[in-house]
Amino acid sequence: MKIKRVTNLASTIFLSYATLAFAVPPWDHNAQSTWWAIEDTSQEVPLRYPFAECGVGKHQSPVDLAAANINNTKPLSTLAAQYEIDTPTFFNSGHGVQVNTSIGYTGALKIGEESFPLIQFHFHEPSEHVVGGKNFPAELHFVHINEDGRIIVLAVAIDVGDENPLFQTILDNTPHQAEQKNSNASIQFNPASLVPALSQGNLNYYTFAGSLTTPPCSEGVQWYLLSDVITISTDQLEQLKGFYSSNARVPQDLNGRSILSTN
Amino acid sequence: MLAKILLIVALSLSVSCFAESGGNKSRRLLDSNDQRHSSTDTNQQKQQQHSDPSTKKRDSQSTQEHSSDTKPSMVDYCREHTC
Repeated sequence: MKIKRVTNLASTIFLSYATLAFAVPPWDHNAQSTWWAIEDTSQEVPLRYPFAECGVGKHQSPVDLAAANINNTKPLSTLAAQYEIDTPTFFNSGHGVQVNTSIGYTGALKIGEESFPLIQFHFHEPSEHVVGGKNFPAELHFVHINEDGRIIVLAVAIDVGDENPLFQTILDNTPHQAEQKNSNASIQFNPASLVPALSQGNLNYYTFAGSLTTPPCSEGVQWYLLSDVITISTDQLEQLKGFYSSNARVPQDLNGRSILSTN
Repeated sequence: MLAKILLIVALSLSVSCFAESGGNKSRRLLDSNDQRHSSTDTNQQKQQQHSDPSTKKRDSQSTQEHSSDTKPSMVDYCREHTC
């Protein structure tokens, strides 16, 4: 009886901790201009404003590529998406369609000699990065985090064109209810099918220092935006909108940042 | 009396100088004994597996749990949020 009580208490403490660890105040793309002001009333200053970086950060993402000074004279590391087949979890995050790789997944983005494991990828509609104020219909973000905690996001612009079979698989298996996961689909695929020109082995890209594009807008994220785009059909774009529409952050000030390019 | 005091001061100074110079010699951000080498851990696990094949599966699970325990919490956060 005593043991059961202790077990219950331990479970309660663990669950409370887990909930607190991931508990973030609610936010919405419609109110993105005031993300920085959202309060966590359970905390004291400065933790009372967990999304302050969205407002005071100087290296925020996304950006308008046409507004930046693009330097293509520096030698850059080669970029290779060395993803592997996985049995992922389909996740409706409440803010977008997301696919989480399985625990222990070894597929990674290779930048020069460094490898960054793929953690998840998700979609924005329309694109977050723009060119001269013009959005693409959608944008795909591959999120990688390595052992020392560095975050690398590989961004791929999505245009309307040929249907994408893998994207259809994702749409068909993502729960329509917010914050629900589908980890029982037992569907295997290689995320590399969503990367353009992989056969070339050496991806052309733009790279710059930025942030997460959603709260808490943490900086220290290195972005790699591919020069080539992928396509989905008009019908698939409408299906994506059926989940989330206008879940894109507007371009942020460059604040003197340059963009390096292999092009 | 004055000679004794001078002798004590001189001895104190020489001891503190010796301690400082000795400290500099071995001064490091992290002592090698304090560092956690993943390669060492792996070797130890390999030895254990080699000496007792019946524990192979258990050790493998333990290694997986260990690696997931030491992953940055940002990994867990990004699985639960858009990032």
